Amino acid sequence: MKKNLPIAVTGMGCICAAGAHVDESATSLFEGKRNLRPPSRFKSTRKETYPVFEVPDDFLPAKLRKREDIHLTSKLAVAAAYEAIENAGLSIGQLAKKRVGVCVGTTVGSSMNNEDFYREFRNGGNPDMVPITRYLRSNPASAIAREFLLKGPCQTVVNACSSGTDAIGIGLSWIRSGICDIVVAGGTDELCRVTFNGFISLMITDDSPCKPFDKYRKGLNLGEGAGILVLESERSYQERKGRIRSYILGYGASTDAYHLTAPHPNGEGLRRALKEVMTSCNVQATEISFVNAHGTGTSDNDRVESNVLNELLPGVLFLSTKGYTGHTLGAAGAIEAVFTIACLEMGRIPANAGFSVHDPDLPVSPVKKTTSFQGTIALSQSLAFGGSNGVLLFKRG
Amino acid sequence: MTLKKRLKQLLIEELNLEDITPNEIKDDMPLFGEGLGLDSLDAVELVVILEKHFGIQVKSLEEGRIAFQSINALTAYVEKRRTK
Amino acid sequence: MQVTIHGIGIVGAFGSGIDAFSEALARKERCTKSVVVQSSSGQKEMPFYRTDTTRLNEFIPRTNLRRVDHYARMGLLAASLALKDSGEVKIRRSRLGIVVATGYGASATTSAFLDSFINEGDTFPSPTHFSNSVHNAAAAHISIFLKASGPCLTVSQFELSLASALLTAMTWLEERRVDFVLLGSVDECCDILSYCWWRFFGEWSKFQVEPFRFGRQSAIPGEGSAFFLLSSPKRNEGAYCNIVDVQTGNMKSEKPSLSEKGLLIVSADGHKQCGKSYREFLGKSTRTVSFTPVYGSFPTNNAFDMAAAALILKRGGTFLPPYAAPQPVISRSKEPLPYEDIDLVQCLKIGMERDFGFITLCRT
Repeated sequence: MKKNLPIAVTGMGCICAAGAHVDESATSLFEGKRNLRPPSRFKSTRKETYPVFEVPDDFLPAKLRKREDIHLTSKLAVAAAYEAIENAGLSIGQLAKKRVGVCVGTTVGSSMNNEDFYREFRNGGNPDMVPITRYLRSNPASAIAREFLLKGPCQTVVNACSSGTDAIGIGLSWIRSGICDIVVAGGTDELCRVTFNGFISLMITDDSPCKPFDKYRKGLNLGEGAGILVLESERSYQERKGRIRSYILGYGASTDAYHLTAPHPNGEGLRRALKEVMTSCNVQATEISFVNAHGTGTSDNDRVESNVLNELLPGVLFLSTKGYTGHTLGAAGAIEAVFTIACLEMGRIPANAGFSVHDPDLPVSPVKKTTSFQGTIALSQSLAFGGSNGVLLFKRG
Repeated sequence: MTLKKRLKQLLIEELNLEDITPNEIKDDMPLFGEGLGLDSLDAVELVVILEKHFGIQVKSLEEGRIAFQSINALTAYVEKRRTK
Repeated sequence: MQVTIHGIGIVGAFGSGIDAFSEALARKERCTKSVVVQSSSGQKEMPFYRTDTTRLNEFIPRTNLRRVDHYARMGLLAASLALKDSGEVKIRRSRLGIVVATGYGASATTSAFLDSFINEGDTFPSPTHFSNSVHNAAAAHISIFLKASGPCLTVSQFELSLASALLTAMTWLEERRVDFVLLGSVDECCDILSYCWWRFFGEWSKFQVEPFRFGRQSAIPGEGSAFFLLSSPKRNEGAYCNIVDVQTGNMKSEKPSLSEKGLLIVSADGHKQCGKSYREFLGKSTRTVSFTPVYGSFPTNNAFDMAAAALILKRGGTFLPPYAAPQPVISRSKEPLPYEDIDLVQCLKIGMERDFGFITLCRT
């Protein structure tokens, strides 16, 4: 096990409300576009409207869109995987010769919560079993493995909002330990009425565009999408002369062990995860160019996060990109990893969409406009329900 | 049943407060933190209870923070705002 | 990569704790509990391996469990029992990781959350049910109650959940991310799952699980949780054994690396579809057993197989296998299998798509 070895990212893919693929999303972010609207795929009986960041149907390639064997969460994952693998310059034939693992985070993707089926069952009916057989075929990691005929380890991580970050961290370990030559790692989630109602019931959703870190923030907007990275061992990419987009220097993970839904008020878990990754990678705060924060727009999360960032990474630029994508739950950490790498390549970060007024209760505020930076190292972090905290450290390729 | 008693009963049933009777919930006892020991998740559950049983829409947790301080405060709040 | 098992906690239809499990393995268990299944011809009572978590009150006061559902309670009880079983092992809680494997997650609470708005409209969904309906709720409750602040992860891969989760646990230990891992499985049965069972497999009221009657459907649904306290290889008098390998794959392109010397425990649990795959595989083996009639069928029941393997390696010939592969299905010795000479046990679970998880354990 080569514990602290930087691992290359040779390809990436992303599909979210901001764009059908990485470049389109990046353009969208720097143009300040926020594509949110009331949900179109399901109706709510609520009087208030809570806007969401939905992926337009035509973002998915037609062939994938029409498939009925897997649910939308897995379609999004497969779409992002296609982009990532193509971006890495890998063919199915090349993948077949290597040990390729798949590690994908999700929330909705593993939940048996098909409403129509359940309603008919509860009302004494005899529902068609197709939604269940589809659910059994739709484990996101398995769906990718089947699609690309991959034979290495396969794991779907269901760790709430840090799933995407954690899945990438696990992929990192698999390469370092020599279990895999390549890992397709990331996260995916679709919008659905269950999570929509769930987050509203917790009173942490905003009925207007969210305002991460803003004084007047009211909560999050939900979103959907998928982000996938291709992680590759040195031997593998050297053999085929693959291009390196970024290195993952390290992954830190820690749990608050505090409450089912509220973050630890002092951000204990996030602190430990940050310290762990910086110590293990021997990186100082002054070397970090920016942080892609979790920044959901809820009162608690943004307060905790800004306090920890101010203490451990004083003066370091940070932003939340959830103002462009919504909170994509299991996909969030992975989509934000993609954005972090893209921003490192470009040498600039977009404005924190939704932020305009500094909150005097927070010690720091995010960037208000597109900001260039020097340096080659950046950090992406995720905080989850249940208290998991995941942090990834990236270096430009 | 008085509104106070009904509220105590609802708290016990809907928040699964086992091993406590309505009489043990004193009218002026703090409901959150010390006292009954409810937390943030109970607060949002209480918002649903108030809407479901009394037709009250609690607009924000800030509003709830004041109204949910004790059974006395909660009773006054419900009496004023109930539509069911 | 190798790891040592220091403690095991387990809860199933047979009761709770490793001693209750050991006794259950020695008896010819029959399923005595039931579940009411909603069928199109009314409600029917079918056998079901139900667990009881009352013993959790020994570890956590009842009042503190008020919002913890059955799914998480099973996990909490098994995890607490695993720590207790490990005895004197000193653990810094900031260096204790948790990895939970689950096939279907907190399905009963997911159903309860759906119930809270499916008929009455979207205004009354229960936030507590929602918070508990995410698969990682069990791991979250375990980390909170056991004050374990190392990394925490939940893996959901249907029949491969345990093998996949074990791989992550072993990787964390190898990279010294943590000093100990509580690796566990949790799966529950509930209305919706038992309804789907009935729709897919028909009535099972007269079944008894017959693991080696491959041509027949005899599976009975179960639930339960098993937890293992793991560390990097360590000599410890109380330790059970070492896990020396975990292999996952698909039988269409590769086969488990079966040892000729060891004992093979298969998760053949009476499902006709997966049974075919076990039969094909068993043709090469001579010492094969299955304990699934003790705990029933659910995606992570191979955690129970792993617990049985650990018991066999630690305690040797203290019990006989009531469920050995019988004649004439495959040819093997007619003698009851003595366990004294077993140094290696392998556990094989095959899923519906012929994907498999294969775990190898050795005496320390």
